[in-house]
Amino acid sequence: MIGPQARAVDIAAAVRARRVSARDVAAAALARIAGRNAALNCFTHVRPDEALEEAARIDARVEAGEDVGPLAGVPFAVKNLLDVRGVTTLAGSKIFAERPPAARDATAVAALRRAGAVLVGTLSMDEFAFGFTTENPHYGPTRNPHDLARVPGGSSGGAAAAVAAGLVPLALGSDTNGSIRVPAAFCGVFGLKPTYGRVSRAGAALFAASLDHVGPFARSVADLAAAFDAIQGPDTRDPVASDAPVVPCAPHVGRDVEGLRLAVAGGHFARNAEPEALDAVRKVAKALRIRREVELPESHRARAAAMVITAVEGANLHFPDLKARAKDFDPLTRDRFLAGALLPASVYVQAQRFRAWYRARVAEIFREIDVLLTPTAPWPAPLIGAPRTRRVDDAEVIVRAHSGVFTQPLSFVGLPAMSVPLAAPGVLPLGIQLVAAPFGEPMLFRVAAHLERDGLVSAPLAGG
Amino acid sequence: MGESGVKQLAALVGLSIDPLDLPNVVVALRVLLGAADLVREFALADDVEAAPVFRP
Repeated sequence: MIGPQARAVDIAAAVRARRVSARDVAAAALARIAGRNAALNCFTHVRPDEALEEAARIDARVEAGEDVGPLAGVPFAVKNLLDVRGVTTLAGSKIFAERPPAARDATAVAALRRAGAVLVGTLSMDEFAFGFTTENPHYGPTRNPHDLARVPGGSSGGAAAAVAAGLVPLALGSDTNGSIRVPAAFCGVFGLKPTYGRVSRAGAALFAASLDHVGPFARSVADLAAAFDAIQGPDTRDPVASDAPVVPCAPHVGRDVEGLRLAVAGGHFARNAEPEALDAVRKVAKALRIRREVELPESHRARAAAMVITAVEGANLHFPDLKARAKDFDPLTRDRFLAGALLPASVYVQAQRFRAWYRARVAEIFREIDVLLTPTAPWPAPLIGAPRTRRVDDAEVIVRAHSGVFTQPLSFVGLPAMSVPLAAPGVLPLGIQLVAAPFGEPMLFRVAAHLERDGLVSAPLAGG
Repeated sequence: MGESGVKQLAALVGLSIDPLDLPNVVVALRVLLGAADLVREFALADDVEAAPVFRP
């Protein structure tokens, strides 16, 4: 009854009602990982003994009549950039392999475990989260479960692949410029990049601190809400964590979109993409009867400023290793980190000042609308080893960087954004990005759940 | 910006770049400088402050 397709919320209900044991659920997830990971290469570490022990403890607590939490016995895995006590946080690098195992769990990992979820392992990523493909040369490429010849997206590629393939119903990743949303789109799952500061980054290996976010992946809207509700909230361990009151999103999953002011993004978000990605937005907009189009001004410049901030902050963080052992970096990140170390300070400050300007313009627009739709990515998952550049919309673009063309301007100003999957038999999935004003996550869940109920978005199991 | 310029710039900030990596760093820096131009050419009023929040 609890197969790879089972929703996290249904697993938890079954465990709490003792219709199934958490131990059996964990054992089944571990068996799926053992069966599929060689092909997908999405796990960096699997913890079978600990997971089975922890699941058995959940069962004992259920037996004793304790409340074991809303995610009782739900298997989950986390991008190996979030600390897991006893596991070395590699962040996709060779350099961090020399570091000792983490002494404690990242705040978000601990929160899911407190909610009763059972951690089965850690997941692959681009080195130091600087990429959109998870073609990691140190540990091998992770493969998209919809087509093993294609990338899963990145940098949280392992998380998206593991959820899409049904190895786990929930995973955690991080998103600096699109690293949750792009892989969610390429792998056909739901992924949420929360409002900046809404989910603690404590215990996460930073990349570009002023842009880093932590968030969940799932195959259903209810599961995504349950995971987000477990991890959202203030945290004194994270200097940018918000003290804003927590608004649980699970209750919003059952609500309709009636009364919400919806719009489609024009301009930058209606260009720069393959026709199929733009058609997907039109299809969803038509179903939602959206007639309004709005333009976020200077979004191409917002993306450029995000690139500057990312490169400079990333280079600053890794400067000692760039100086002492540049050869130990992934060649794909090394060149960009080195370049980031050479940018003048005035450009960085200007990018941060432009960020304040763009935030103000975007805030004005979100006074008039509640949820904005854009494509998540400009195309479906590219092939592993795809050529460096390709033509799109009459321009030559860098394939890896351009995958974030629609996600970067929005994370740049910390807006909550969710990628919801459009699936159809025989074609690669595409993602629609739903965007709201800061702390507008409940509205994203309302729209996503409406689309899921109408059958427009879904995350069927991939491969296997 | 060519290879010699990148090499000099790297020396200024205390980095030494392997000659084999130089061509790719030049390409990466050109991409970033293109982004930097987009940021720099946009005029901002003097009272627009940097976005990150410092909480004493």
